[in-house]
Amino acid sequence: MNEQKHEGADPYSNLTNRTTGNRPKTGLIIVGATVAVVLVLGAVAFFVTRSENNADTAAISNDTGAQAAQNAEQEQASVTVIGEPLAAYPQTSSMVAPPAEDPAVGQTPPVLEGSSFDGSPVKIDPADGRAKVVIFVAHWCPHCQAEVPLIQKWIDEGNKPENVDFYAVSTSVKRDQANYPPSKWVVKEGFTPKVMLDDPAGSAAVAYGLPGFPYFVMMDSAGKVTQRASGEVPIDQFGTLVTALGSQQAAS
Amino acid sequence: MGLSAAGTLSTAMDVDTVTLFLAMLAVLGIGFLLVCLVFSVVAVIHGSRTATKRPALPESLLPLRTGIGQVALPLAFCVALTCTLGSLYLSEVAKFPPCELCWFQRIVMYPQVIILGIAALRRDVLVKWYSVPLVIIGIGISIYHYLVERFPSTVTFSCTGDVPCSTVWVWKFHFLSIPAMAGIGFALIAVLALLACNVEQPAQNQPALDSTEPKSENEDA
Repeated sequence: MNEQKHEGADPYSNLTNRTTGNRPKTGLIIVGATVAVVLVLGAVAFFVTRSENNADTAAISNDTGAQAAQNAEQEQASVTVIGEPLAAYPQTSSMVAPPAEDPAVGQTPPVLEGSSFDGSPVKIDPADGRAKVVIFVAHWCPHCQAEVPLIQKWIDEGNKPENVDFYAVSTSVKRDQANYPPSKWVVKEGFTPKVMLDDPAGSAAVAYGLPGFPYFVMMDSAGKVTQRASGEVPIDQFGTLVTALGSQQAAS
Repeated sequence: MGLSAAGTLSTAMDVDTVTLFLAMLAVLGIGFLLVCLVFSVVAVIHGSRTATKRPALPESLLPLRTGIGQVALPLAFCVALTCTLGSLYLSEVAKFPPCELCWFQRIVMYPQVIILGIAALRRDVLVKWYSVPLVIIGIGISIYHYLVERFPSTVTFSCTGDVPCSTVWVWKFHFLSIPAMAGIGFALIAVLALLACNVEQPAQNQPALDSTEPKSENEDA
């Protein structure tokens, strides 16, 4: 009855005219081949991932963040903050805050006492007489995921001045987020700087005035902040800042 | 620690197995799309030598073409179902929270299961008029999402508290992420919906269906 309402070619006329008895074999072969290939792929996926998990070894140098991460017992740990927190990060459109606009420049950041993945103590003490760069990272943050390997490559190429220490702080750890656990990430990247674990409240990040990830705080050997930056800072720019920090210390 | 580590490892292996499986299916899909592309080129070249000048496959390839057309709708339904179940597995079992762009792709993908399922049962080859425009929108979102993943700096330069769409949850074979696989799923559905034909009307469907690219089909419309 409905068919009478259509004028001209009935678009559904082919629906009533089914061929059930003599479907060409080609269709069946295609379906069969597809099912077979999918089953094979499923089996391959199963066995490949099984063997991958058995062979998971990498060369990690001693006394590095990656080594501590390889023996990970924890992903978050308590942090003791001693001293006044840094001033809030300035409202700036640039990833690298101009020192003239940054109220924290010249301030002494608080001492952070905490531990790494393997429970070994990590202390970030501005008064230890060494210039340092503290890098705050979140494992789930794509900008941190992009920046960390670039920094590691920069270090591996021998660019890091001898008189500047690097520390990383793994903060904002979220179990249900991408790239968890951070220890696995640090091992994968072969990250050499010591990694301090922030507590669930992010005490270390708050004490250093973190505005976003990644976040960099640079301080001189007198423990005064010289530069702060937040975001995926291009590695050349990062390198220039760290090299300048190193040569400042050598000159003074 | 031992127990929880073993638990995490076994979950990780399962998620890894499933994502690898989905990625291999996506590669299989790419292979199919490439074959379709080659066939389209063959049809255009062969067709240009015929009297009608319209794209047409050589006689020897017609049984294969018709065979694919016969099973195209059930296959498209399977693709939509796989994408939907895969997406639900990643969010509900693997606990990867879907971002905003993921949700837009889900809005396009999930109804395809119902639309194509009914079309496959009814052998309604005209479903392409409803399915293809939607999945083309889906392809657009997938491409944008993939670019955001690859070049997070183009959207933001730092992360704040929220997890951004540029978070890469799955990365297989150095090029496949979740939106990449979704995009391939959309493309497969589009091509399969366009290839679908009924056995009793191969001649009628033949000329238009030889051009397997969704874009060209739309231009025809």
